[in-house]
Amino acid sequence: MPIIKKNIAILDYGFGNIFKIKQAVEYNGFICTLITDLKDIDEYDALILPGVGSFPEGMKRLNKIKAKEKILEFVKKKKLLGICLGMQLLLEKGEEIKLTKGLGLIPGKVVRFPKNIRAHVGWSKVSIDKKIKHPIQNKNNNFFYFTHQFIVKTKKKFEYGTTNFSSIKFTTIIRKNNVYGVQFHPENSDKNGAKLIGQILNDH
Amino acid sequence: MNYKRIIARIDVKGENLVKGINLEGLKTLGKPWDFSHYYYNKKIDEIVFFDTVASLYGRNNLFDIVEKASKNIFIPISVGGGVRTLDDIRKLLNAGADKVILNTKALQDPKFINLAANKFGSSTILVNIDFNLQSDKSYACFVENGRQVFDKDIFKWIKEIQKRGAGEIILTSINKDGTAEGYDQNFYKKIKGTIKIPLILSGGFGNFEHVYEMIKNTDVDAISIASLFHYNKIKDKSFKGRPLSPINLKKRLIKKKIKCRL
Repeated sequence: MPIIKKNIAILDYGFGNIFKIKQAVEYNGFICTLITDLKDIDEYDALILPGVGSFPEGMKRLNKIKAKEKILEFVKKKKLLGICLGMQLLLEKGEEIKLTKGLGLIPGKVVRFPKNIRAHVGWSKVSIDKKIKHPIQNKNNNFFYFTHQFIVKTKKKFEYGTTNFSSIKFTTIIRKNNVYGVQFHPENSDKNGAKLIGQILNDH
Repeated sequence: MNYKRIIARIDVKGENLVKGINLEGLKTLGKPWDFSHYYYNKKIDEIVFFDTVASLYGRNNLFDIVEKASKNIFIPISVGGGVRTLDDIRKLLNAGADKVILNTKALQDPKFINLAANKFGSSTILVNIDFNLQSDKSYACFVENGRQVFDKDIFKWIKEIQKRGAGEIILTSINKDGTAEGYDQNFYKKIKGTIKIPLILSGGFGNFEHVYEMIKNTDVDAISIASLFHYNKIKDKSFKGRPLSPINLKKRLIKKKIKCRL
């Protein structure tokens, strides 16, 4: 029987560098397609929602392509992975610039780091819950690359990973059923990050 | 303490990696993509590319180099030199850059920082300041890769950059660049406490102690290194400092209780 490779869609809604994400997806042997709207989303096996930038701007661009309804339908059967802002948009609301409604796929909200702390840009360790199967069980080697000023607050049962930065502990991996989110950039987190994308899209 | 970043800086002229002293007398050391892949394998945290001539001649040949140099590299790549339009930024991001660095354009048209940060996200837009010590002991901002002074108070400019939404700031000392004498400590003293966004220092790091002391004694987030790494890779003895590889630098920092990713 021929092996059918999974086809993963990345939604390109105008932010940042999605080519790095594509490269990390392909590292796992998946086919990867960049899409600019969700018309043909049913053709794909999973969807990645990337994003850097502000919460209101992100929602504005998603609303423009009427993303919410299509994503809600899609995740009934298939997986969605939100990365960085793409993760934050999965929550119910964000407090960046102005209070804005998110996609509401996972209960909770997005809030600012305390003002006196510089933005979190760089490598930090993530304590990954055993619920996520990840090849890195070695606690000395679970570094991921972050760049953000806002953090998500959700219920304990949706929290699959946490990180400490500037003496604050916050949620950095979330999951509810088929919906996953990571605050860090797995595509910029060396091979660990690329492998994590593979684990999430494959094994659960 | 949070984890500190060690960044390799790759200055590009045409198709080559170049390095000079005080941003002048550029010597060709090899191909940018050979260096980027080597540093990636040696556990560098990030790579920064600067096109040393783009801004001067108003052209931008970086796209191909960035594409080649970032292929199969899973760490952040930043690119600067000759970035003048939103379209330049889009093209660099499409070629594989994660962040884009502004200098000349930001000084000439400061609102461009706001514009770019709004469009691509604040974390995507970095501003670099090339500064030089003047004969009257003051510091001046330079444009066109250190060739021309720009009439703007550098300390006010540092504040303005942050207000306009830059994601990170790079402070490059022209007077120390390539000298292996260590970073300009007097300059650091003057800017201390004024920076609320991630801070990258560049220029002059010539040995392990320079890097260690800077990280230990200041609030710097990242150190950007060129000659120190390049001359280690090409085994060239003409560099005045004590070259070493990214992985060895980081191992020694960790031994001295500085937090780094390995």
